[in-house]
This record gives sequence, structure tokens and C-alpha cells, in this order.
Amino acid sequence: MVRFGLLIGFWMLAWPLQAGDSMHDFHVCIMEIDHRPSENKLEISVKIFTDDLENTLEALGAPRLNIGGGKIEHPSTDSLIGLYLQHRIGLEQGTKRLPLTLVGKEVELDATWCYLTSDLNLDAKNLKIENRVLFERFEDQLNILYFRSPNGKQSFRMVASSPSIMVDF
Amino acid sequence: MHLTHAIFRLGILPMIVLCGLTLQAQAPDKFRQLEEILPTPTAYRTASGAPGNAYYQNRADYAMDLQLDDEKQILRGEETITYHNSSPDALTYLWLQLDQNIFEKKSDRALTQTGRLEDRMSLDQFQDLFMEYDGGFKLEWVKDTKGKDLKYTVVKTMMRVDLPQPLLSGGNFSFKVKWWYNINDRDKVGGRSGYEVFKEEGNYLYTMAQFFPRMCVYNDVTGWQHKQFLGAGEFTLPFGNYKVNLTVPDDHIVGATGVLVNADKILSPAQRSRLEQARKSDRPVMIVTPEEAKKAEQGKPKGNKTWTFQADNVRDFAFASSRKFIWDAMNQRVGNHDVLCMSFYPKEGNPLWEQYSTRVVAHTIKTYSKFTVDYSYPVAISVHSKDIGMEYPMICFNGGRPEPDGTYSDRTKYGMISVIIHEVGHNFFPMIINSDERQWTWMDEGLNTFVQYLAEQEWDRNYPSRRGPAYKIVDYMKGDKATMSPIMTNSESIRQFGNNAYGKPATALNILRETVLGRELFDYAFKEYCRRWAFKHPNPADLFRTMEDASGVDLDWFWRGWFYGANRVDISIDKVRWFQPSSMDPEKEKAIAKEKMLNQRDSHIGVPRNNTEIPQTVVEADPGMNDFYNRYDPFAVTPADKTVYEMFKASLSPEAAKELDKGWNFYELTLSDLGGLPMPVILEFTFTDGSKQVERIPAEIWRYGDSTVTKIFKFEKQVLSIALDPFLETADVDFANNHWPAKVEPTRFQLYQDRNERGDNPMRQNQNNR
Repeated sequence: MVRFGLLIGFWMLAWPLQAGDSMHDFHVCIMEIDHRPSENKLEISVKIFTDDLENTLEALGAPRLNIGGGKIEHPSTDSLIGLYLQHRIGLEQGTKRLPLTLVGKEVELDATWCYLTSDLNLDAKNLKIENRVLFERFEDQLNILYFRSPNGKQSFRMVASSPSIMVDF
Repeated sequence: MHLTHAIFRLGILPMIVLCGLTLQAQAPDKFRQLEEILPTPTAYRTASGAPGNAYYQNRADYAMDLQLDDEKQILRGEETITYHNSSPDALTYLWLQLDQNIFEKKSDRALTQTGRLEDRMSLDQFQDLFMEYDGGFKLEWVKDTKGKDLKYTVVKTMMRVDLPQPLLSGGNFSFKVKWWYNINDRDKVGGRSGYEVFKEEGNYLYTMAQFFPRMCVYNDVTGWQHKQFLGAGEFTLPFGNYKVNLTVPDDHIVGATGVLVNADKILSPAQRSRLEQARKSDRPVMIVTPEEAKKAEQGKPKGNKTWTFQADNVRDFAFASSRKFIWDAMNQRVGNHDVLCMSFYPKEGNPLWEQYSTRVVAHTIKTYSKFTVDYSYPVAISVHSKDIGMEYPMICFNGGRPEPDGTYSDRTKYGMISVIIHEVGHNFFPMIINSDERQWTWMDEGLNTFVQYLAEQEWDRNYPSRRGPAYKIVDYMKGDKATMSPIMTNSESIRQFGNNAYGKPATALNILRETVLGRELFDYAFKEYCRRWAFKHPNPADLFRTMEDASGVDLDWFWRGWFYGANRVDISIDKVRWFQPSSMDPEKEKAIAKEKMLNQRDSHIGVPRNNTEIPQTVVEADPGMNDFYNRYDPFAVTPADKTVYEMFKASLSPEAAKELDKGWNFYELTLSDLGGLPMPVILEFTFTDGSKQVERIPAEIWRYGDSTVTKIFKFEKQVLSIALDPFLETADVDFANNHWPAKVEPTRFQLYQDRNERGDNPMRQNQNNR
């Protein structure tokens, strides 16, 4: 049994409202990770639909961000997005969680591309990648991962019931 | 990828056989005809995709009295349904849909909803877990027209009414239902219909639909279509005529499916005269101005008013009611009749709504009529509700709300225009071309999203359409195909609704139009499908068959690949070989051979070194070491060579001699279908002089089931590079293998970093310019 702790935070059932939207949105987030062994780092690009990202951050208590809105964009936008992605995207080698750095973002039509990097642990043989972006918002959220390394390309799909995968080096 | 870039001098020109294809390993038959999958044609639905000579459909007419209780947010209604049985069958019972029952606590939707305990979330969401909403229909009775009770059985979201005696073919049966239900707060409970409350002023805005027990469809495909409503598969409904008396507070403004028939009793003389003005105007005219709406917002009702609407040959009825409504209207002529285009919106929708909504409604029915069938209803209405888009006949509820200060982002603006085009467009699919939504979401959403794209592009050049162009579906389709479901998946089982039922079919149709059939053939066939099935109930096979039948093009491979399969498009250029035919002229050919030999000999690393390090060789120092072979030139043209050449020339026809003189280049391309979804091959050849030539090869190049094919191209010019799918029209998911010579494309991350290092980040520029 899980005990609700209201003071610690509000647990919620991920129970989205009835699908009442006849112009149904894409509930897809794209994450591209390039493994650069020579520099011992990962280059990560994450594409999230801007309205979904904004609404999710707002539901978490963020102010209206107006992402990509030029002067009306909230000054804390980048740091809030960075914070959110650090919580929702997990890179682990063994028991070590790798720190993620938001390099920047850019808005392309209705989507926001977020760019992150992470330094790898030299000795580890594999990497666990978790992407739970927007899982709290849409029950059918699908997060696609394209992982590219000198060994080739791999694609993965992450859904709420299995949010992480493992790649070997 | 293997590249061969070499010159082969071929022996004799007439021996070059241009066999385009070579056979390789056999693969699954992607060009197998579809007959074994499609339903057997019948007298109801023909093999050509048209309604057959025995086609029938049943009709349901409704007379309804409704009362909207604005104090308690309750809708009460009494309806008389007259059901006409045109089927050849006798019916012993009727089935009705009770969509509101999806809000019952023990509904299948609630019970089968899977949920997870997630991370910490907001207090609002926590409170929602304890929300009590007493939803679902409260049925009072079902009676015949004489007032005698009829036995009825509720099965979740469906209700069976037992008939006193069988309803024979050609007969009709009238009965009455009385019900009420608590209207849902859309902000809390969600839903396609419901109310929005404006807390500060205490006003409600109702956008009401699925509010009455509605007849199911009975037809030759499903019998009774009474598949339970779980929330995703929308509504399958028969056509009929509606007469609705709608009693609302007397300060409310109402928009509804159909024509207001008692305007003289309901509207003020000023409003009636403005409405007349709007009927003749090609610009929106205010019927209720923002000032009047603002005044109504602050007032209170003195009683009730009954609005009466009549709607003919529609499959449903919906309405919107609020004292907050601003109302504008304009005329749009379609074919040979006038359509009154209208919008109802609260002040919260402005300034966007008064500028765009009605104009977009008019644009939508005009553009859709061009590509499908003429819009034949008398009105088309867009109502502003908070953040939803939902369609009903002649009326739809659309989001797109500016910030409280009246500013809005371009995303809000284009989102609003797109949602209005989309929902008004639903008048065509499925309101008129009435497919079975409960079974096949894509048949209305996919087709509608496709025409939405066409209408968006006619609204504004380079309109930022979210779906339509082939390359926009690539992000979705390049994923692991093992976990994708085909478009031909039942509505309630679709994962990734937006991509699967909207994006992918819309893209497929766009590819069919731009690349496979071409615009002329496609537009003719698509219009024919719409003409054949307007005000009827089409099925997927009727679309597939009509598109083939009317275009004259075998599209079975296309339906199989795009609609029945989950493969993706990924064609690669594996290898390119370059050939030039020999001219046979010894003067030319021997010179070329000599040059080649010398080139090879002199390129060796030792040659220049020896030239400097060996001042003199033995033979150079002593001429006595020379003999015949030191003087012999194997590349010299001999009289015998000349004789052979003269004989060869004499054997050539004048045409062949001319061709030989041109000095053709032959390129043998090896292509692979890596994705498993066969598509036409579009190749752009760039020549050394900078000019370009495009070759379009139909998808039938893959018809033998090969995953690899080779094909020869001939040009007078020499090819510098080749690009596959240069116009991004096939949804090829991997561009890394689409170029010869191979191109290494930088990743998005690298591009971003490069731009930032150069300091010309477009976003920053944009910010600085504002």
C-alpha cells in the first residue's frame, strides 16, 4: 500500500480526462541521442509539442511561459524546462545517474527542440535511458528514442508502462 | 553503402540491353491484390465501390422539447422518434445510444481506464480524485404514441427498446422517451459537450451534444451498430429530420443545428434586420454586438424563451446557449444556394474570434465543396468553447482563446484557424459522407485532416499546417515498426490516435494526390467517392474501390502498405555504376586506351622518384640496347583497325550512327526498399554542368517483391550527384541513404551548436527584433 503524503507532494492517478478532442493531438515526444565516444559525451535533442510542454509546466506550478514568444517569453523559461527535463529524462550508468545540462532550445513551428549534453562514465559498458516526458499529462504519450553511435542506429519506444531501455556500448 | 565509380568501356553498342530490372530474393507479395481482404461485393455495395442497386438506409426523425435549467445545470427532454425501416428485414427491437452513460461511475470507460500513480502533481488534480459528479442519463420512461409503456433494457451506453410487433420492411414506428441528466463541467469532467462556468460573473456557457437518446444505425455491414461507447470511437448515426423546441433563460442567445423558424418571436426587430443584412453580406455582420453581450452578462433573466429549430436530412443535433454570446454572420454562396455562416462567442474569444471565426467558416465550406460535394445545409456555425474542438451537423465547438489581456501567440491564432477549418470540415466527413466513426476513426478524421490541409494552404500561403506534407509524418513512422498499428484498426483500440487516425491517413492521401496519382486523377476520383456516398454510409472498401475504379490505377499495393500494414518508407541508393559505350573508332578508342595506360603507369609513386633519382637508364645510355619493341606502339592505329571500323560503320543504321556520336553516359543504380512500404522512386540527377533532371518511376518497380532492384539511366551529360526523394514527397524516413555520392548530414544538435557559435540563432534574432 502506498501512503499518500499531502505534505510531501500530491500523488495523483494519471487519469486523463475523456478524449473529447476531435482534432486529436500527437502525443509524441522525439528524443535523439548521439553517442560521441571520442569526446566521451552524449548529445541529446528532445522535441516536445510546445503547448503540451507549457501546459504541463503550468500544471506543475510554473507561470505562463509563452515559449518562443520573444519578449513575452518568461525569463525563467530555460531554467524551468531544464529542471523539468532533468526530472523526466534519466541517464544511468550502473548506479550513477548522469547529470544533464540544457545547452539551449529553439522553437520550430508548434514544437520546441531542447538540446542537452551529458558526460559519460568511461568504464561503464551500458547506459539506461529513461524518458518520462509528458507521461503525467497523456495516458497514451509515446516517447520515441533514436540512439546513434558509431556502431549504428537504434530506435526505441517508451510508454508509461515501460519508460526505460538499456543500450550497450 | 557500396559505391562503384568506374568507367567500363563496353564492346559493341547494339549489345547493350536496357533491362531495367534484375530479380533478387523473393519477399512478401506487397502487390498482391486486395480482393481476398475486402468484403465480398453485394447488391448493397458494388465491386466498383458505389452503392449497389439494393442499397438502403433507415431513417430516424426526431421531435424534441428541451428545457435547459441554468440554475442547476440540468437538461430535461422529451423526444418522439419516428424510425423508418427501409431494410429488407423485419426488426423485433430497436437500439438506441445513451452516450451520457459514459459518465456513470460504473461505466466501462471508467472501469477499463488504466491508471498509474505518478509523481507529485497539483492540488487541483488531487482534488479531482474525490470529485463527485452524478452523470449519465436518468430515463423516466419509454412509451408508444398512445402513452403505453414500452419495455426497454439499458446495456451500459446502449438501450434496447422491444417492439410490440415486428417492424416490417417499409414500415415505421414512433415512440417517446423522457429523460434528464446533470450537465458536466467540462473543465473538471471533460467531455465533448458540457458547460464552462465563468466564476467571477457567475455565467454559464453551454455547448450541448449527445444529450438525447439517439438511434443506432442498422445496415448491411454491421446489422445494428451498437458497439459500446468507450470514449474514443465517436458516433454512428442515421439521417433524419429534426424539429426541436429549446426552452432557455430569456436572456440567452442560442445557436443550433438547423434553421431558427421562430425568429419573429425570439429576436428583436433590430436583430432580425441585422440578420437580413448578414444574409446579403460577404463580410461578417454583428447580430448581437459585444456591447449588447456585455450588458446581458451583467443582467438576470426574467423568464424563459423557446427557440424552435428545424433541420432536415441531418444525422444529429447539437446546440450552444449562453447570455454571454456575441453573434455574427455572413453569406457564402456554394453552388446554387446561399449558406449563412455564423459564429457565437463570449468576449473572452476576442479579438481573435470577431476577426477570424466566421470568415474561416465561409472559407472552409467553399474550399471543401470544391474538393468534395457542395455544402447543402442552410447554415454553418462555429461556437467558441474553451479548449476543445468537436463537430456536429452545421455546428461545431472550437477552442482558441487569447490571453486575458487580449494578446495571443501565433500558435493560438493558427491553432484556432486550424481547429475551425477541421471541425467545420467535419460537416463533410462524417456528417454528409457518413462513415461509421465507431468502427473507423480514420475514415472521417483522416479524410477530414487531408482536406483540412488543402483548405489551410488556400487560407494563407505557407500556412503552418501540422499535418499533410509527407515529411511531417516521418518522426512518427521512423519508429520501430513492430509496435505500430495499421490505420485499419478499430477506433477504440488505436494507440497514438493523433498519428494513426489523423496524421497517417491524411499524409497517405496527400501522397496519393501529389505523387502516385497526380492531382487531376486524384481529385476526380476523390470527388467521385464523395458524390457516391454523400448522405449515405460508406465503408473503407467503398473508398478503396472507388479510388481505383474512378482513377483507373491499381492502388491495392498502396492500401495494403499504408492502410493495412505498419511498414515505413525507406528506399536507399546502394550503388551507382557508370558506363560509356565504345565508339569503335580506332582513332578515338586507341587514344583513350593509351591515355588510360599512361595515366596508370605514371601515377605510381615510384615514377617521379625514379625520374629524379635515376639520372640515366641503361637503354637511355646505350642506343644499342633498342630493338623493334622499343619503337613499337601498340596503340597506333593500323590499316587493319581502320578496315574493321569501316565495316562496323557500314553495318550501322544512320540513326544508330547518330546516337553513337553523342557519347552517351549510362548509369546503373542499385536501389533497396529497406522500410518494406513500396513507393515510387523519385530521382534527381545533377549534371556536371549544374543542370538537373528528375526521373519519376512508379512503385510498380517493386512489384516482383524484390527488396533490391537495379535500373539503368542514360544521359548525354555526365552525372555529378543523385538525390532520392528530393521533394520530400514519399515520407522516406532515412535521408542518410538517399544520396550519391553519400552525404553525411549533421545532426540537429550539431546544427544548433554551429548556429549558436556563429551567433545567428533565429530565435535570438527574433527576440531582438521585437
